[in-house]
This record gives sequence, structure tokens and C-alpha cells, in this order.
Amino acid sequence: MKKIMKNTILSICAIGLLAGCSSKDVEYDNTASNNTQTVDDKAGQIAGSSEQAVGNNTEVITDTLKAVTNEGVNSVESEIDGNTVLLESVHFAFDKYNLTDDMREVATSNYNKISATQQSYDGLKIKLEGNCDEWGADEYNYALGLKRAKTTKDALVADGVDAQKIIMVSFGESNPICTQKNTTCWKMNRRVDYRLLP
Amino acid sequence: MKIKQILIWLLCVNYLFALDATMEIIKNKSTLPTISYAISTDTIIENNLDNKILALVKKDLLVSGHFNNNDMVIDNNYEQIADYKVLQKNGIDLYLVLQLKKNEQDGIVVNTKLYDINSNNLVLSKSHVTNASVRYPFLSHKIAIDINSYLNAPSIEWMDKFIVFSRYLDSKTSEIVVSDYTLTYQKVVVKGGLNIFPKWANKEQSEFYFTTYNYEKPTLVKQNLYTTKSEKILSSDGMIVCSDVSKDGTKLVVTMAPNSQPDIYVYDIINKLKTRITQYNGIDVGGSFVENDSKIIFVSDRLKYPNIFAKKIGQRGVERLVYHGKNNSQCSTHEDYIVYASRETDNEFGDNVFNLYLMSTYSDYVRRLTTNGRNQFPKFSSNGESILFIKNDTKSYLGIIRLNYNKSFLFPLKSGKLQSIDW
Repeated sequence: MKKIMKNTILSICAIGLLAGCSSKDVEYDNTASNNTQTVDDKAGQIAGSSEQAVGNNTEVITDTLKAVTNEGVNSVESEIDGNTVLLESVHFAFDKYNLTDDMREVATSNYNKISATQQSYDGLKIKLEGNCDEWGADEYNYALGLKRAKTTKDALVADGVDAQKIIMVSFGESNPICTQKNTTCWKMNRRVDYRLLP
Repeated sequence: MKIKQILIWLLCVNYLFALDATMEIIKNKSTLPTISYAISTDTIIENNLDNKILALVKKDLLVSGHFNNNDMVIDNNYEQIADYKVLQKNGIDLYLVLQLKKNEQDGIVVNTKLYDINSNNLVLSKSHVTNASVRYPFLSHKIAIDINSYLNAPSIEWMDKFIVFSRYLDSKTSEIVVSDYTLTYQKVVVKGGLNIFPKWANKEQSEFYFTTYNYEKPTLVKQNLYTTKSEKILSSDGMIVCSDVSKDGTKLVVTMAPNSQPDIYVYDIINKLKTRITQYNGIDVGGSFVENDSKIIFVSDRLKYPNIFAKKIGQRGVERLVYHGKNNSQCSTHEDYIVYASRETDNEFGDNVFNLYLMSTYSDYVRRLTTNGRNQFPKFSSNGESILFIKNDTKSYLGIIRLNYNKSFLFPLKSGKLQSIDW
């Protein structure tokens, strides 16, 4: 026992010396139990998983996401009362949430289609979904996705859409349309998808 | 006498250098006590459980940094007294004998005897019981904690705590899992849809918060681990994340966007009132309480790239905390220490390395804790001596850095990709 204590004290001192760790709080337990004791683990009481209510939302989405690979862009098809509206996703540079000139044109093109559809369906809502590539911290990515959605919302409002008709959500990096590890793929994932809700 | 002098010298020098844990260290393994193990010869148990439990005890003691493991194979019946002479001859200081028995139904009993070979004594005799063998990792952790306590070594009680994490399974699909720190024990506690950013609601780890996308808006939910009773706390357009809980559990730091703008709020769960902390027209996320919950440390892109800042609650000024790196998008704090993840390049064409760095708010020195790969989501242990983090390469790993021992360990996730963790 003496030898152990000596070795332990020496090693802890040596570690402490080199790490400079004595400012940390350390707990000591001086009671060495010789009694037989029965302990059950807390994990024994964990309940099973709760099933989150998928599909109980009031929102009904009838659209499908399509990656048009030959053009290097992707679009979302929304089905509104039997009519199909194809809206192109807006893409962003690495770690950015501003619209480039060519992406502003895409946003304007989407506005024109939305505006035409709204003339037939007054209650139409637009859902803007912000997405990111896999780089960056996850919480930061959810915020970045939201800022991208906000940029496209601002463009739609500037073009004339009622802000109250627009819903935004960020999916961070949880919703990639391309899972390969290359810059083309990451670029495809840095996007805002436009969905129309009846 | 000589040892006494060395000790006094070491303690004096230790005091001089004890002010900054960001200093690099080198560990002297040869002075650690050596421990050897045996499984009682009368142990007959299914699924190789005896070896699994023993392997995990060894891993725990290795991670503790307080022991040298010895792999000498010894035949020992549980009732038989240890052969002190043979063990002493082989340089063994401590000797653990395990005996496993089946309990009712699927349960197991692990009987343990710890011998101090230098004092020729049986110093600990204890039994651990569980009624489901799948929970054996926690028995291993308890055994390791007992051995560590016998030596009066720095506490490793954190090994017995739960880890809660979210893992991505598919597009917009993730689940929340409770595990031990080695990921050996795992139990899914929330599944179906997108459920992310779990965060313990109290020290007892009986409840946790998480974000779910299974309502009309992203919603923060609190769920009881033992009853599955859940309660909606807040919802927000765009996003909502609970990034910290106050020490008394009554206040949350939340990133949300009620005005389409991701900002940091403090939410009082008693009065159900939220207070906006940041008002910057860019990104503010990842807030955590410091200085007795009077100040928030957070990530912001107000310098046009993500970096770490601090703001006193109720005051206007924002203070920049980190002057290193060009993409620091996550941080965790313990007392005067900050650990943050930094991307080594600020574009997509670099080597895509994220490293963790430790700094003290009282010095300029920054200590790099990792050297390669994608190391993210650092979280201090409650005593500040360890850091838990996520490493994502071809596989996902849960990593632990033992700050005072200059060691890190990785535990692989069998399936899915780690999204976030808390302990």
C-alpha cells in the first residue's frame, strides 16, 4: 500500500507539475469500502423511445424534389390543384448568404411563376427551406440556412409578394440532395428550396 | 528523506506552474500503479459477458490516466486468496478478481474483490447488480470508479453519467439516444422525423430538451427520460435550439428567430418569459452561460466570419474573446477556460480540418488539442478536466480529451452520423 501511495503521489505531482492543473477542483474519497454492497444502475429505469408524431402536421406537402443533374441545378415541383409549378433552387457560395447576380435572376424567375400561380390561388403560401453543406458547426449551419432563406424571402418581398404568405425553415446540413464528397456536390447542397403550399 | 525532498520540490514547482491548464504536458507512465485482473474460474456466463465487462473496466482505467494495465493471465477462484508472492514478483500493485453470476431472468451480478498486493490485503469486496445484462457497461464504470476511489486519485465519477446525443440516419431523419461515454450501451429515446440538439435539463439527467421538426414550426420540447412525458416549451419560425441550461435549471439559452433573424434569447421557464440578448443583423448562435449565469458566450459572424464573443446580460457591449483562426463556429466554457472548434481554412478547397483549441480568458496562450480530421462540438465535463467532442470522418466518433493527461480517446458510432452531444 505504501508503495502504491508513493507511486500515485509521485505520478500525480509529476502530471500536475507539467500540466499546471492544481487550479482545478478535484474530488477525493477517502473511504475504502470493505462491505458487500448491492447497487442497481440508473439505466435500468429508462423508458423506451417516444415516437414523434410524424405526419400529424396540419401542413400537407405534395411536391417532390428533383435534381436536374444535366444543368447542374435542382428544382422543386409543387403540385397545386393539379397544376405543376417548377421552382428552381437558389444556390450560395461557401459560408455566404448573399445572392449573386445570377441567383438574383433565379429568384426573380421564381417570383414570376409564384405571382402567376397566386392569381389563381389566393391562399397560396410559399415555404422557403434553407440548407447547407456539411462544413461548419451544426448549430451555425442551421442559422446559416435560415439566413439564406431570409435572403430569398427579402427578394420575394422586394418583388411584390406579401411577407405574411412566406414561411421559412432551416434544415442546416440535415437535408443534402447530394452525398458525394466533392465541391460540386457541396455547392448543390448550399441552397434554398421553394415549395408552394395550397 | 530523499523522497520527501523531491515531493516538496515537486509541489513547489507545481504551484508555480499551476495557473494555466492550457500548458502542454507529458505524462510519466512508469510511476503509475500497475493493476492486474482475473475472472473467477467458476464464472460461466453467456455471450462472453465476463470478458466484455473486464475489457471495459480496463478501458475505463486506461482513460482515467491513473493506472497501468497488466495483461498477465491468472487462474483464480473467487473464494481463493490472491497469490501475493507471484503478483509482487511480477510488479503488480493492485489485483482485481471478477465473478459473474446470472440473476433473475436476464439480470447479472458482478462480484468484485480488490487486493492491495503491497500491503497483502483484500481492500474492497463489492457486488454490482443489474436486471438486464445489456446495461453491463455501467457496472464496469462503477467498478472502475471504486478502484480509482481506493487510490484517492482524482474523481472519474463522470464515467457513470449518461451521454445524450442525436444522430442523423437519413435526410431530415435523426433520433436521440442515451448512452454511456464509450457508446457501448445505447438506448433510443426519441425517434421519428428530425429530432436534434438534445440538452440535459438538470444535473440529475432525468429530463432533456431537444428540437423537433415534427410540428408546424421547429419546436423545443422537454422530455422525461423515465416516463417519456414530453412538454412543448417554445417554437419559432426558421429554427430553435437550446444551447445551455442555467445551473439551477430555471433558465435556458436559446437560439431562435421569431423575427426571421437568428438571435440569442434567455428563456425563463418559471415565468415563461424570453429576453432577447443579441440584436445583430447577421448570425448569433450557440450561447452558453458563464460567470454565474450573468454573461453569455456565443458564436457570431459580426466580423464577417464565425468567431467567439461574450456579452453581459442586460448590457450593450459585445466583447471579442478569440483572436486566433478564421472560422471558429463552436465553443464551450468552464470557469475561465474556453474550448472552441476552428476550421483551419476559410474556404471549401482546403484540407477541411477542424481542430479544437483551449484557451484561458486570463492569458494569450492557446493550446491546440487535436491535430487532424473534423473535430467539433466540444463540451467540458462538469469538473472541467475532460472535453467530450465529435469526430466525423468516414465514421462518426465520440472523443474524450483528458486535459491533465494529454491523452484523447475515440469511441466509434456503429451507424449514423453524430449530430450533437451533451453530458
